[in-house]
Amino acid sequence: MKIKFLILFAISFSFLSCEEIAPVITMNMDPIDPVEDQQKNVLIEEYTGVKCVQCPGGAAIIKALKQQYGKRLVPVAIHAGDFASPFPESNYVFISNDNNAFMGFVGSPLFYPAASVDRFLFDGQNGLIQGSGDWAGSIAQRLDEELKVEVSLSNSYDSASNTAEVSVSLNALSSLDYQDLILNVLLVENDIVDPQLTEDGTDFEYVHEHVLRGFFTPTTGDPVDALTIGSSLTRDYSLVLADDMNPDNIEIVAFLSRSGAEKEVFQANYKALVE
Amino acid sequence: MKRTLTLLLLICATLPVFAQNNGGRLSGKLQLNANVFLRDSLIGAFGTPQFDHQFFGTESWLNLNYNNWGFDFGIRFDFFQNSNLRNPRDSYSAEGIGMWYVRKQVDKLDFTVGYLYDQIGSGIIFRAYEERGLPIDNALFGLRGIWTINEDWNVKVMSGKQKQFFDSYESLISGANIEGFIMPNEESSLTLAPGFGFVNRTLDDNSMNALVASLGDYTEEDLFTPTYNTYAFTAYNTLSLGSFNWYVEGAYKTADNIVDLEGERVSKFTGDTIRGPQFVSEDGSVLYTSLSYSKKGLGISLEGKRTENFSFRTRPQESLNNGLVNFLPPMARTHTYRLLARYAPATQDKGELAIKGDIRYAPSKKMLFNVSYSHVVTLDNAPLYDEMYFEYSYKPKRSFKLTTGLHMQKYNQEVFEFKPGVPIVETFTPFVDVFYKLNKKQSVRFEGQYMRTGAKDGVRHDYGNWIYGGMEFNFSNKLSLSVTDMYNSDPGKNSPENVNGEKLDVHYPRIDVFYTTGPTRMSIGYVKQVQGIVCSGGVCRLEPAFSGVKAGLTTSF
Repeated sequence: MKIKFLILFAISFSFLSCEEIAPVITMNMDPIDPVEDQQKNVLIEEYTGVKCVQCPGGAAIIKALKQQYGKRLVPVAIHAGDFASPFPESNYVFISNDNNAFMGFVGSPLFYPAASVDRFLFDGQNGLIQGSGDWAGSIAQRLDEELKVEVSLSNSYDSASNTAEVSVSLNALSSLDYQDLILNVLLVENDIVDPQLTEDGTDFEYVHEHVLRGFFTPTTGDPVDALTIGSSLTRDYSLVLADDMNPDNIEIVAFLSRSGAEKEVFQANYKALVE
Repeated sequence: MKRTLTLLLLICATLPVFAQNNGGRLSGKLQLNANVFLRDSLIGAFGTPQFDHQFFGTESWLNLNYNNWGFDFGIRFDFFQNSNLRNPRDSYSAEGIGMWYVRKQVDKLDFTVGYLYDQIGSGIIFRAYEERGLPIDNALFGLRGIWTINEDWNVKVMSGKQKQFFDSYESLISGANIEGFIMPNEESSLTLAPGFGFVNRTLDDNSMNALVASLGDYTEEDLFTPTYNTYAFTAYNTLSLGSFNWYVEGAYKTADNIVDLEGERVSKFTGDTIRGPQFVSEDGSVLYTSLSYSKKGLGISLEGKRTENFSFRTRPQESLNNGLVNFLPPMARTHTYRLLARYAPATQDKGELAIKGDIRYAPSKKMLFNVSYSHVVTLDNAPLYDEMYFEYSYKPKRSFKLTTGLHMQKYNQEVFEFKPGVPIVETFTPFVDVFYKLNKKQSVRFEGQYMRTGAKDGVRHDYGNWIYGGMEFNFSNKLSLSVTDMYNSDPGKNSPENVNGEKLDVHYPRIDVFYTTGPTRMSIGYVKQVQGIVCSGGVCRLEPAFSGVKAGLTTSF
């Protein structure tokens, strides 16, 4: 018996002697070069809140990914859910019923920070919303996808009426024969200084980036008919800015996706309101 | 896959016929939960699809087992509709075959194919089990063979992929286990039950690619070479000598890609400091022992555990209760009284040092004393959890029983619930439980608890003080009624507040009716439930507030 026991023991330890060929970790420090022709971009919708202590860590990861992928990554920070109610000292109220509805359309995270990447269900993951450990891999995977539709924006700002106007064009490169296509057009604002809970307490000088602040389209998106190869479509939207918005820090984000059980984003793009 | 399932369903559909004609045995179990969601924004029961517009949700499981021709067949149908079980903040709807297996004994070989529930030792390196309330269902989808060497020794090998709801994770998990029983001679009161186990997890390519992509932002200082294969070993033994039982287990895990939830690193791309979950490569270990002594009227048990970096998941990106390969024994007392169970510590796989003791002494048939103590700290000796429990039971006659006692605890809410800056919650909770049997069929029971929490800067910890009272009326062997109320008598920092920011002393009532007939038990109740932690065996999760109606049915045949 002792011999059998020792044999099993030895066999199990013998696995340790097998040396693995390690995976290659890309060490490229250079951001991806911008190109003229539109490439497949990736939308990352980060679910966050000013009272979420680990969310600054999530935002820092997205900042690094943005640095790495440049214009091909389209981040939107959605303040919604339990951790998003403002502090008494907050100058801004980022959370809104629309934000909660917009998040609920994709799902509700059980933990924060969390994000959906192209609203796509990746192999091995538990849902459309994933933890920060999966973001980089999911983005890298989606960047390799074939571009099926171009999404282009043309923005203008009327300072007299404090109104943002956007014209979104779709140009189908492949057939998107789906009856549940939707177009979402969002207003996000950068460089907002307002309190945020951090591991060191409340940071009153925290800089919030990519904050979702308005909707040109309904939270469930603007329905679009199925697209055939070569077909194109242009839609115009406008939105009056709130008084506490800075037009110079605003970007308009547009993305085309499905809206049924599958919600895959085919293409996302963004453009500054004032250039 | 669909064909396999269809075939299995066909087999199941014909099982009753075979059961009648060929002497087979069909058995089963049904569990059905139904919820009606009634929005109550005051307590935080709102903002989910169920409270906003779905209103009705259900979960049910039907197990069928059939034995014939030397085979055991099992299948389980799972049904979730608008369920908040998987994610209390979201709605989940899906149905299908949640589990199936075929098992056969051929001479000394026992083999099973399908979904396997099993564990090695106490589960420290491997445990596949189902805990519906959390919910955990991490069965291994694959094969297992058990070879009986002789009447005292057997060897088990298994391999498969971990169940992921109605799918499977891609990582491969394989293991082996040898267990035995040694009795030096037939007269000896000394016995040994030794065992040795081994588990390997081979990370799938998708998970590795995702990990490598994340590591691309790590500087040289934090960067490591991730491993596909992690190996875990355990050796354990139960020694029995007269009234003594001593279990000891030591486990080691080779370097694994795990997550440090309190990580801090510098981003290579931005130069910013990123605090929060960080991938690290660490080996891990667990030492666990329990010693028990029992003789008439006296029972003593002592437990100790040291854990270091023993997170073991099917893929490192998983969090909370997803993808758990193993199970670490909890070191806190399991409570049934409502307020005593409010703050339950989750096992800390990053590192903890824990001891636990329990003494039960019954000087006569009428009296029982129970004292219990738990002490859990981090490996740096920072406090995590302390608990003292005293209980006295008095049963002068069969129709009357009084149980009373005191419970004190210190609960590191900052660690267990990821709430930075909150104080360690201190509680002091006396309790009483009186049972009186009116006649052979009718009885009544009263339960009362008062929890007094500590205070910081004049504000009570967490939700503050609570009063809990409950009456249970057993009208017959079949019908009973339970009425309880949990009252936030002195609200704390996290209690609900009105629009003026004033804390509110909210009642959380619950009324349930139970009906039992034979193996069938039905219940329906109105529930208003405060947000809290729900744990089972040291595995916990945050349970949001609930308001509505809960109905349940369980039966077996």
